[in-house]
Amino acid sequence: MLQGTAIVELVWQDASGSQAVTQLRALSSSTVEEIDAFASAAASILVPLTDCVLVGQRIRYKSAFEPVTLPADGSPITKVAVLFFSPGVDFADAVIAIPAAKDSILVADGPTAGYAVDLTNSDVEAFASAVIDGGVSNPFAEVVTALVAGYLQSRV
Amino acid sequence: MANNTFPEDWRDQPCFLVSIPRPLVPYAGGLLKLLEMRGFWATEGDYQRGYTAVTELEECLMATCLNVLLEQNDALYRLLNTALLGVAYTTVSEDPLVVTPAIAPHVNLDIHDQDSLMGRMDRLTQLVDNSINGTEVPLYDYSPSVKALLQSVIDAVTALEGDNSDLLAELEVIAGLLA
Repeated sequence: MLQGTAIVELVWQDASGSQAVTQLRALSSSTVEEIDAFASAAASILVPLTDCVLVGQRIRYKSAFEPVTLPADGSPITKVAVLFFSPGVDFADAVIAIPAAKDSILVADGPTAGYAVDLTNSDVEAFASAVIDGGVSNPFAEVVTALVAGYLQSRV
Repeated sequence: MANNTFPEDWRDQPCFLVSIPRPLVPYAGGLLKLLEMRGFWATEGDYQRGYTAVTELEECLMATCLNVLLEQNDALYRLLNTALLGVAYTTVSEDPLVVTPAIAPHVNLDIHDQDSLMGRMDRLTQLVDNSINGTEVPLYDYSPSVKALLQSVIDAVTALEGDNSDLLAELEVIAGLLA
């Protein structure tokens, strides 16, 4: 369930390039725009107090799940299935990583067996449809239209 | 913050094919994650170009490039097998590409269709063997053969009265050419 407060992080950088964060909290019932305005106002008030410059601003809403269930035996989180979704030719992919990928979603035969994600697997297809129908985009706000590739990567 | 740049004309530049052992692909791909980070790049433009290039590279590491190469290789094999021996293939599905029959570890010289290159050559061979020499073949049963007919003509001319030695000599030359 959504926690009562959202975390606001103001990212500061000194002359050496080192970064530090000032953390504030705001009510999670507020909209992103409202919290962003609050964060900007807080940052402007903090500027006279520091020799750093503001280089970033983050807002995080957090949900907690209760009761916490223990995972069944399976692959470790280091076994990451990375799926590449494309918005179209010449556009940047959106990359979605799934930790502890099940063996059942991997290709069983051929040169990519045990490494490539089986894009025809029904669970993979269902997830891909949900991603595409849900309007997921790459980092440049280009909405994806197709799942084009997937395989294991060591990303952790 | 890193200050790496990426050229605007990167798509016009040459590419290099790298062979990566399969067990190394997850690590090679995972290391490229660093280049997906905004902080790695100097500007927003460098980030967009660099991110696009590196995710395309990641995409190619296992799936796309190898599949394309293998499929084109298989397509060439099937082209030759159909053209030479007449083996018929059926596309069961386009994506993923499934074609039957599967490519066998080896082939023999069995002709699957007489309209293939080897089939047409086989037809010509059988036609010549049967029609000229009278050899029994599966596809043709011309009778009598050209050689048998010629021999009949020679026998008939020999039986005629008068001097037919010049005509017989010419017919013997033709029979010799067909031998």
